[in-house]
Amino acid sequence: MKLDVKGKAKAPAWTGAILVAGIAAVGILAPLLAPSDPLEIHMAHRLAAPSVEYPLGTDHLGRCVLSRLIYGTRLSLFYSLTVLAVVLAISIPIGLLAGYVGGRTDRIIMRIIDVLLAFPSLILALAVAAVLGPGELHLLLAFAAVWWTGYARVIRGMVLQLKEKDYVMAARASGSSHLRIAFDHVLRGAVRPILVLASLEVGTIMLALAGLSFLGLGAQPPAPEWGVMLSDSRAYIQTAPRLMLYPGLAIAGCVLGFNLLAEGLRRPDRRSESRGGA
Amino acid sequence: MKLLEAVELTKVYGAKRRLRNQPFSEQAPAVNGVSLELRQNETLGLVGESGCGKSTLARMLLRLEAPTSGRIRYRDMDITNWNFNRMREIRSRMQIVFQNSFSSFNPAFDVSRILAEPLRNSGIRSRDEQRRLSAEALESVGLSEACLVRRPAELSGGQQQRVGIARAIVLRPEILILDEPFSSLDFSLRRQTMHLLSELKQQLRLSYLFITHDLSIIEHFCDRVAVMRQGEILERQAGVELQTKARHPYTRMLLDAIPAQHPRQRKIGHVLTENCTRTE
Repeated sequence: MKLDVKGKAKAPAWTGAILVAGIAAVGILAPLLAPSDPLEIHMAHRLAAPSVEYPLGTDHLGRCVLSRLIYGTRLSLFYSLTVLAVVLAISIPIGLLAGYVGGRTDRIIMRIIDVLLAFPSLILALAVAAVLGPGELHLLLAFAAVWWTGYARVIRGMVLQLKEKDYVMAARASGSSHLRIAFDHVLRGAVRPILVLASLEVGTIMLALAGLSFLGLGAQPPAPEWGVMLSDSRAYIQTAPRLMLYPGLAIAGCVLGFNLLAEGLRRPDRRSESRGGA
Repeated sequence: MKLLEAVELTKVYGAKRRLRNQPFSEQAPAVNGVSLELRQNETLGLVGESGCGKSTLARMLLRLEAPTSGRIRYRDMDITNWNFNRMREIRSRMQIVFQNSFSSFNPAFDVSRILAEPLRNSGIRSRDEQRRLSAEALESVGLSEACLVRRPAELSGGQQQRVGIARAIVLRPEILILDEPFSSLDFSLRRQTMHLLSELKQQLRLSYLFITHDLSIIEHFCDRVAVMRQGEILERQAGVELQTKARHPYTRMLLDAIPAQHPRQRKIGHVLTENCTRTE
């Protein structure tokens, strides 16, 4: 697995990689980078304009916007990666099972997925989150519960294709067990596409999570989460539109970074795939 | 001594019986009631056009595909319904060389992992032992130990074929199924591979089931030949006698389809014999 550094995708891939690395660094180094406490309220400095003390100004409670953005990176990144991890943990075994075993198992699993896919995922996540009650953990669970279906489907499709490969037959002839074949020969070939899909979806998940927080179902105020920040500053859109601009830009930047990175990862490894015949 | 035997083997793809005793009439069978036996130390040729069921038959013999009906016997043991663990014990006795070696290797594996897989499955877990046996197998197909660290894509077509053979013999089997081993090779490599296989047969006392659609090789390589068409065996002959004794019009047609080396030799009775002796 490596980035395509020589092909045409050079620039976007590296831009994406640098953006994502930068975002991750900001999240990890948040306590060092933030100029002040993201939760500290200074009613005297409400809605202050950018200054040396508050580089991006303050919000309606006098909190430092920059610090909140920086800490928000942590939350957004952590939440979306957690969702992704849970989603992959559910969808990989299920997709692998459906595709590899096939037959009735496959049909049953796919019909269940069809039913779940028939619901609009965001609305379903909303419903699940509403039933579980507000809170980060519940939101993440609700999200993973509706998001895995698409992955399972894609993974099943890849497995169906990979299990017909000659080397799977060769592995069977050499006496490998189905479990070993499923992991060593089938899943291994799907790792790269899964990673591409995952990195493409981090942005989408981030966006959707911010959307749910905006609606009041995810992270709760005063947490410095981008969606919450957007929601909080909605009332000041006339007087202080920059309060909505910054979190919006942060979300857009993250999504862009992950999408570009995904684009770079999607380029096939030429050395191993260009020689089909022999 | 019969090593591997097919008894009335039939394979129908997509066969479904609504009732237990209902016949499989819905689709043409890929293999239809074929009986075949591979004896010790012989090379049995299985000839036929593409899609006649040769490869399906081979895969059923190795239990890589389930037969719709019929039995498979290995050394007089009926292995048709053996489970995974019992099959695993005799997998090391029967191996297969695939038509397209490159696609039969996992592109993510290097040669050492490709060769270690059958070894590990037959219970050889020590890395050193795996390495030693792999190097030995590579040597017997004329490759050096240095190949162990290569990926399949880094090997030439001829080397890939040799690694494919090395993987098949690394467990010292007694039966080797060769599924059109020459079809992806050019003529000079074909000759080399044929010599290699003849040598290995002597050295390791192998028995070959040699599947091909190319009759020009058969005569000198096979002791016996079975001609297959549309899932059925049309006729059987001794290898050297195929040319003179072929009775079935289809076999004659296949024989006539072998290109002559010189226009004057076309359609003359013993074209094939002359060709082969001259090119040897």
